[in-house]
Amino acid sequence: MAEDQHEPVEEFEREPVPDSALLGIGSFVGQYGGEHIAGTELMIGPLFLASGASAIDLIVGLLLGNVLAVLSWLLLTAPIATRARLTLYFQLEKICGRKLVILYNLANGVMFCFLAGAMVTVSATAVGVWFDFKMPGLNDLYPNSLGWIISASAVGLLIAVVAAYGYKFVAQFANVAVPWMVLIFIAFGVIGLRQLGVTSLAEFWPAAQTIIWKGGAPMPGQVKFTFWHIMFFAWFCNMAVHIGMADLSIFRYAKKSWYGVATASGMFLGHFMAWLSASILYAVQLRENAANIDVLPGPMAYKACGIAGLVCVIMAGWTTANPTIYRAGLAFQALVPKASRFKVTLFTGILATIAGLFPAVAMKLLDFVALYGMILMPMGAVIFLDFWFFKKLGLQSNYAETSGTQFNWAAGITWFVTLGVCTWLVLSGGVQIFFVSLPGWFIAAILYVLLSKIYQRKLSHASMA
Amino acid sequence: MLALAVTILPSLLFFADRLSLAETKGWMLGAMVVWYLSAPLWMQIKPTE
Repeated sequence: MAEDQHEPVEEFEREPVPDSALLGIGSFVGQYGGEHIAGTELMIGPLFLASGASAIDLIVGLLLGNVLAVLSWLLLTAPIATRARLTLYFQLEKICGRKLVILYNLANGVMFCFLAGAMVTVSATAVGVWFDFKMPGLNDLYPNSLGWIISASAVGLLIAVVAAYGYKFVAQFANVAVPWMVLIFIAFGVIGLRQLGVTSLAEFWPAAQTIIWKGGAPMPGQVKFTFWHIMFFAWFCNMAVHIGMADLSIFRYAKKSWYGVATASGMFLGHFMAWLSASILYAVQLRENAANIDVLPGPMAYKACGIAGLVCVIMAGWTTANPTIYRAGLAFQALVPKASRFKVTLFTGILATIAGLFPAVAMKLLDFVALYGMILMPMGAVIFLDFWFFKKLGLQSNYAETSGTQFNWAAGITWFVTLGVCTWLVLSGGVQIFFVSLPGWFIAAILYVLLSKIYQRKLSHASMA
Repeated sequence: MLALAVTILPSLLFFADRLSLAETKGWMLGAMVVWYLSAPLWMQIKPTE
């Protein structure tokens, strides 16, 4: 999971990016490589282990899932981005109308707040190592000690104030931290392996199968993760930005659409190496005390790398919560355009801090990330269909812009009905949340075409009359 | 770059049983301090807001 550690793209908000502003592939390799070393990686790796993932399922599932994620950026997001060269929001506004985009912004902003909250939770676990208060357990949903409340509040408010005052400074500082954090994550894995008794590369695979990712039943309160769970999770954990098209805003700067392959740097550094390293740390903890199933990145990192490990946990949480809060603030500002950026960012940071007090989001991060993708995915299907197929189907693309409507009901109903069907499928027990976005995308695509045929005909009849 | 090298090297030496865990943590802490003191100057970070 990740958010941008670089400056949000604020230029050319309502116009195509000109040729003079296009960037080479190196920019994207660096950006994606850096932004996927986030605080949340330290939660996800251990949660795989808590979910009873076996070594072969995890390694192969992550490899395939990450390849599918890269292909999604390469084949779905980048081709549209490099042709239209517009931000997600402007592209959506042309299709859906301003009022529907505001609703989308609200949903996006709320999800960003929860995600930033999880990063606050991760950073606060590092503070717990110094002050030794009771920290949340794997199945805790609510704050469980005064020390935790004070710590998470202090960390969250500090992040919020810094994001409001000096977003750009932290974004630049994140660029300094990233190379160091990548190496610390590698060190987590190397030291963890040695602590598990591995002394050579040849011993890795036997240890992986019998000591680290043993498979079997999940821990209490966790869903059993098979190969399919892992592959779909790796594919869909960034669904909001590839299939959901949020990264149109990033790739509109790419000279060529094949630059989408640059996302592999983020996938295989963050969503492979970092997840494996974090789960190795958890395996060390379980080997020392099998009853200690708490997923607390701070103590785990401290045992492996000392103060450097703790600082890495804080940095990984802080440098990624910072742009997440900032972006959530931007999304909320669409609702109250007259409010100052400072006040909105501060307010958003306070919301994220409140979310961070509750360990539920971090401890259920696998489910939350799947939910995040599911909520924003239908709009990706809308953009994809609108861009590639509407003219071929005799429909008007960019309908809101052409017709002047503020709320394209075909897109709106597509979004709401798809979410309703997906939610029903999950709650009725038919499909787990980790898989539901795949049929959900096709439901959204079919619905959008059918509803647009009705909606566009109805409005064109009305305008002719 | 030396600081980055010293960040990762101790973990490899620990893996090869050439360094104790305490020494590894100490070297990594030192490398961290050097990196965060030197890299911002090298990367020309400016507080802009």
